[in-house]
Amino acid sequence: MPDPRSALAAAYEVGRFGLDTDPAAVTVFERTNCDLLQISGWPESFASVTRQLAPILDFEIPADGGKAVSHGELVLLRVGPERLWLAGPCAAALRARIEETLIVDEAVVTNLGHSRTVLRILGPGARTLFSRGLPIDLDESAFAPNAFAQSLIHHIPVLVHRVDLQDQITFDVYVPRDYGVSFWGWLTAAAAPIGCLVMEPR
Amino acid sequence: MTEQPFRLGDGGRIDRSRRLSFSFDGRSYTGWSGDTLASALLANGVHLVGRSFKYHRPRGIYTAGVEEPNALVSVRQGGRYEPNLPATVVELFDGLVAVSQNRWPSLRFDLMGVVDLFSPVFSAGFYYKTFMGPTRKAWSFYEHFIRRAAGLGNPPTEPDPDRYEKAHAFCDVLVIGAGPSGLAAALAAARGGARVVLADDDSSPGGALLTHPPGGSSDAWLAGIVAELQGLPNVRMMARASVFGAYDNLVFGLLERVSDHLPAPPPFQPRQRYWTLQARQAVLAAGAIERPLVFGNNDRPGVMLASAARSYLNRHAVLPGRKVVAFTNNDSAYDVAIELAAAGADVTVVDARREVTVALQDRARNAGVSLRLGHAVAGANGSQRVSGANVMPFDAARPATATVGENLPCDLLVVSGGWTPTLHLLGQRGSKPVFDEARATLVPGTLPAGFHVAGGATGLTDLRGCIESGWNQGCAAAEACGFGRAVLADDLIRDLPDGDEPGTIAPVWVVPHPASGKRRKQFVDLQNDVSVDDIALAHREGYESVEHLKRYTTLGMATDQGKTSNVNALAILAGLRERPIAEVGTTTYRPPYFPVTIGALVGGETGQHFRPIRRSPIHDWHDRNGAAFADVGLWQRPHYYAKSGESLTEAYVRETAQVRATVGIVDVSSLGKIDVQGPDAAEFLNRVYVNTWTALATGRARYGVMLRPDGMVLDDGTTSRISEHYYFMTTTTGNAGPVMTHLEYLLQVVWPELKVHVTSVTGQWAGIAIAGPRSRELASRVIGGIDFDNDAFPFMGVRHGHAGEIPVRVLRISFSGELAFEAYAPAGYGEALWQKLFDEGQSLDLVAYGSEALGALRIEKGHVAGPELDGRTTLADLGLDRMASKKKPFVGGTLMGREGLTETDRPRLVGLEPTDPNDKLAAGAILCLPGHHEGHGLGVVTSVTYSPELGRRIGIGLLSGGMSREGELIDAVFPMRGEVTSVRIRSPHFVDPEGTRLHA
Repeated sequence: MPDPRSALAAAYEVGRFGLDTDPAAVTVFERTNCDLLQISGWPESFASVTRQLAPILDFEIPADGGKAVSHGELVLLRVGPERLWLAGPCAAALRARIEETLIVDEAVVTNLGHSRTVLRILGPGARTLFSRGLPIDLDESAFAPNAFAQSLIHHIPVLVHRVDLQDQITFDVYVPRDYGVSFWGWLTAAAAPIGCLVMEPR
Repeated sequence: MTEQPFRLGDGGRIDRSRRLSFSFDGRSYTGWSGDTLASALLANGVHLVGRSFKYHRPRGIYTAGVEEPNALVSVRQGGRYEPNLPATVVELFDGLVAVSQNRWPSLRFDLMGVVDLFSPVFSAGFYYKTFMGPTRKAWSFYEHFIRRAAGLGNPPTEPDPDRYEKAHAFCDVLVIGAGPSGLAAALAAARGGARVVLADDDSSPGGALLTHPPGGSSDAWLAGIVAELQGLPNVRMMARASVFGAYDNLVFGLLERVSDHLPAPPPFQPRQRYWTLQARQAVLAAGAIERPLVFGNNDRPGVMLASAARSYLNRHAVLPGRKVVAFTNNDSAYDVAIELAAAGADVTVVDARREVTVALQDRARNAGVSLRLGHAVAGANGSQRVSGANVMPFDAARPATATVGENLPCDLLVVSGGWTPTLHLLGQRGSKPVFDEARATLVPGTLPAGFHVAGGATGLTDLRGCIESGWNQGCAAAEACGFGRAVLADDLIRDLPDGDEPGTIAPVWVVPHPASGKRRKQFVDLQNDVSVDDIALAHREGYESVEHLKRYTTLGMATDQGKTSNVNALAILAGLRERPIAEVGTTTYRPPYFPVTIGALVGGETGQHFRPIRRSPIHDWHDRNGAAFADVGLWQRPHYYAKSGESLTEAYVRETAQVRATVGIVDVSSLGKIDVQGPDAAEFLNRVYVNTWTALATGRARYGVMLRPDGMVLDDGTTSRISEHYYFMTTTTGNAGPVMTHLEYLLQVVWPELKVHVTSVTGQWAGIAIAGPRSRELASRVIGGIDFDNDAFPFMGVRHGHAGEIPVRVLRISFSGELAFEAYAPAGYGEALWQKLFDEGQSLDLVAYGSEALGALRIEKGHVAGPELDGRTTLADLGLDRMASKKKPFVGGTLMGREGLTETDRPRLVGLEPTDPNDKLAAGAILCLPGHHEGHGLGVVTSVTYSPELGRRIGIGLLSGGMSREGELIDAVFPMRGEVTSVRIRSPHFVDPEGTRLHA
């Protein structure tokens, strides 16, 4: 399978921009290995769905919305009452196993892997950067590691997930692919006053 | 001339190591870092800084803050030019250029000052009464001249080079104002554990403490508390950040002037930042604004609030006058008078009260201040600078008995009519202040939920009381958030003087004209030139409501919003109505509290960031290959691909013709795409669409139309059955969002029992339509794993294959009327699939075509699209009524048969053909009977194009009677261009009406 073309292919420029600080207040890169699988059940069947998923995923299912469960690079986000997003490098085998295991009367699976551009934003200025567009309180007391929220930035619907890898304040932001370049334009404009490093996609 | 002749040799809170140069009206001056433009002008002896709005009277610096009504100036040059800024809040920087406003040819010699001579004519309502006739258009004629004669600064004409930001903030407790009570409130809340934002207009915290003599006990207190607050991780101190709006649920608007104090913003930094702040509790500690006293010529330069004089003296080390008259009705002016005298001024206090405490009198006399108790200033003398005060005996209880008194020479006349708490933000939340007769001021009424008020904003005047009030309210706010209560630390108030007993106040709303002598204008609203006589006139003419008074006289309008004038005006109106002031009430408070720049409101949403743009997965290819783009909603779609020198028309006509002749590909990725999944999906579609879906086989697609509940057509599209419980729905580009909302609503609210999920997959798939007689050949060359034979893959079939390794879903459907396929690939492979089709198609004479040719093809075929699906058409209007099933209910099925939707004379879809093939036909033209072009006509032309197939212009439209008029000649009238085109009514299916091509 060829590598899919990034929505940001024509806009993405690796390097430093904006305020020159050392180190950069914010580091950004596109996650290219982030599949996205949506699993949707119904009120009467969701408990059964989570029981079926547990042995496949080998980690707990989020009990409520707004809080994700991470397992390495895989993350499970409960984006609706009976709706889950499994994000990360989902091997085809894992995806197939999920689709085969779930009973169609109890759940449906939707592949959304190409529908989102996923950016990882980390560094001490990450909260400041988000404050320039995201109307969500990202303070430690309100948005602890693995918290996530769906909201708007620059009128663009986004899901922001606090990842916190490698002891750095880290967020993943899921942006609808067709808005990708516009979001990138917002991000680079908003990050310039604090200084930003764009790294190679990975 | 001596540099800064009115600057004291020492003192102040300015940095004398940093001399700053600036100019005013072209003349160069110097000031110090820490100055405002106003303080620097006063230091240089400049009192005349502007001309009044209506009468062009000379005006000076009246206040030292945002409430300034007079000293409005234009600052900076070029794109950074900004008019109507109070000189009192413009921080001085090196190279600042400021000019006065509303004068010609110069500030000192303003020819329009002649208006003042005729001011008795130009009373309130003058324009309303004079310039509204004789015809309805008369005002448009007069307005140009009136606006030139009156007004504020000129608007900027060049683009602003600076950037502006928007930002969001959150906290437990927002403290508004960093004066003594605000600082105490912030510390109390923070010590309790709350996350605190302390926002203040000023560049430094301290509020009124900054106007106290430097080096006093309050300075030590201020330094200590600021240091502690700055060291607390849960406190954010925002300087130059003004809270201008209070909105629902404790959301506040703040303007942070990030770089206004600098010649230009530092690299990458904004000039201003607009904050939206969400708090859980708010403490309003915004202090109070001193009130003017109203007397004759009270607007002369050199007349200013006593608190302003104190600020210039102690904060900026400027002695604004050497011979001072201080006119007051309360105690607070005494401190100012004593400090001015200590600085070397000759000061006389004129107090409207007959009784003043002996201690206060002794303090004043010991400081060398002369006292005139039981006196009032009836008028100010001088023209471009006050030169004296007419002082007369006065009895506040019987003010009308005043007589002529003596003239006290002076070059500064400071006034204090009491204090008005700054309660505007509470007012914005619907909490009107109430009038306290004893203290002769407005005080907070019932507080909105989550609000607390502290310090001077409650009417308190003593420092210790304000600090204790702030502490208590800060604690209360933190407790309301669930935090603990901090104990009032002794060190917070130990070294402060005990609170003075509140002094008395003798309400003086207007000093009457002397019994003999000239009647001089007594201004209530200095900014809008509204006088006591104007209020009286409005009252006589029946404008008794305070809201009517405001609108008739303009009192309280414009940039200062009446911060210094409103209470005096209410009291004067109450006197005229012979009603208590409390009964008159106040006007309605609305955001913003002070002017907010358009730049800040817009933020970064300018130019390419004006709105987000949706781009197809193939966008970059289109861009690289010369596509012109068209905006369709938020989408940018390739409109046409012009060859060298081609116009839009030439390009789309070529593209259209080539599709019909060979093969073309068009990007249809913007079509809405929705996965409909679940065991009840077929039943759901059956209820949503007007036609039947339960019998659709896997691997087949069907055209469907869905209605709104009111019976009008919502959208159309094709839905494919991918597997037993999985359907792939497409919608029009424009209606993708509304359809998704409609479906979600039905599932969540109307039929929650259905086991169906809908998911927008618009971004998941790239869509490419392959159309034309050679489309089968092209598709079969590129896409493997599918038998493209007509029998194996019939019209409305759905198959899955692959282009190389790229998975492809193929629908055999046609929007163009030609043999056609729609190929869908995961978005990341969209461009690769397009490129494969494009490359392979070169040998088949392939053309890439845009949305204009796409439209031409569908009009030739008579397919409806956005212009026809405008939310006002029914199935029958569009000729689709035979699709509706009579065997099952569907959304909109009941109301589509309601009265008004079934009349046969409703406009219905027809084809339109100009009788002269060369005639133009405009979309939007009104269809009328020949020669009868008045009224609303019989219908409208919805879509037009040039048909290469027919070699003429054609169109479709909605016409009363529809196809029953087939063959008739009708006029298509386009009044905006004066065009009338004779058209013949015919079938909208111009090309291949039998559908032979698409089934080929």
